[in-house]
Amino acid sequence: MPDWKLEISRRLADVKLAPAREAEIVEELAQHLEDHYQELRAGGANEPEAYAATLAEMRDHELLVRELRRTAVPPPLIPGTGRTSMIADLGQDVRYGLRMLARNPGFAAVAVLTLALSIGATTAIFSVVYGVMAYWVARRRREIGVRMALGAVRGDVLRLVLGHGLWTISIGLVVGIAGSLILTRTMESLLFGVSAADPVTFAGVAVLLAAVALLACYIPARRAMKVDPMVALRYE
Amino acid sequence: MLHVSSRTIDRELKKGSAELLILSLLEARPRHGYDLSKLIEQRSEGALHFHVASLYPLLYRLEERGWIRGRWVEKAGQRRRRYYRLTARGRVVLAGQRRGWRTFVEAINRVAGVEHA
Repeated sequence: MPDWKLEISRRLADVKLAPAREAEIVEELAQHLEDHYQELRAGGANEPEAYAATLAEMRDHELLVRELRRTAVPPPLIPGTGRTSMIADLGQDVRYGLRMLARNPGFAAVAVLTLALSIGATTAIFSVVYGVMAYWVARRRREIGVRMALGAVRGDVLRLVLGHGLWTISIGLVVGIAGSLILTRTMESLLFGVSAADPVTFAGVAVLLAAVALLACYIPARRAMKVDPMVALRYE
Repeated sequence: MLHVSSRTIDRELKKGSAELLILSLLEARPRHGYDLSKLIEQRSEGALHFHVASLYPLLYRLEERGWIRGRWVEKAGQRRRRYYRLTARGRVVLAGQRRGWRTFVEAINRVAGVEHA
């Protein structure tokens, strides 16, 4: 039996189709050619005759190639150009997004939940780190005062507080990433176009959360730098 | 019945009427591409024949316009095939194209003095 898929694939090689789309088209056309071939054979044609007559069906394949190319490559869309403005594009995108969400309530729920969780998590990280560091700075007020009295400059104090904060953040990141790697496996089926252990996503989220945590350290650190050694020493 | 020889008909005209043929054949029930090409050949008594390379681009184009919709259907003991069905919009378009075609043919007949079939 001739390999129709091969014949078709060869003729479509020039068209840059998405692999899934190409596979569908090849399957559909191959099915057609096979039907045609079998019918010719059943009608009494010998193999070479039926083969040649079937291949003749693909004679005008330039037409097919041209048409597929027309539909395969969408015209380049550059935001803010053409007839519509950037604002109109944005409005269109937002409407499209809302329509897609309305069409898939399940997906919408997961997306909203994920967004809410991430905002919540970021806020929680900020508050917790801020609280811990503020407490740490308050407790070491006297020590910081002594250090400053002995000649430590503001930079030294900043380094002391941020250094402590970074140490805590690093431990948190290691534990967090390890935990995520385990947990995300259960949501692999919900993701599209990205693997559950996507390195870029993990790195991005880690950097973002570390930055938030660092910011939360910086505010107590600034307060520590403003400690007046005289006041701090008299404090106790 | 209307007999149209593919040799005498203008290429563009054939292209325009091809849409009408496909939509008409899908009106009653969904069909796959091979079924469509066979029916066109049979019902035109061999006067019309669509090559694979011209039938499928047409189907994809009609699908892109939302007039027909293709879907893979698996039947027991057979390889899966892509069946096309007429959409609601396709039905509206078909009615319009039928009217247009009838007007066109009647006008040609009146001018050319062909007896109305």
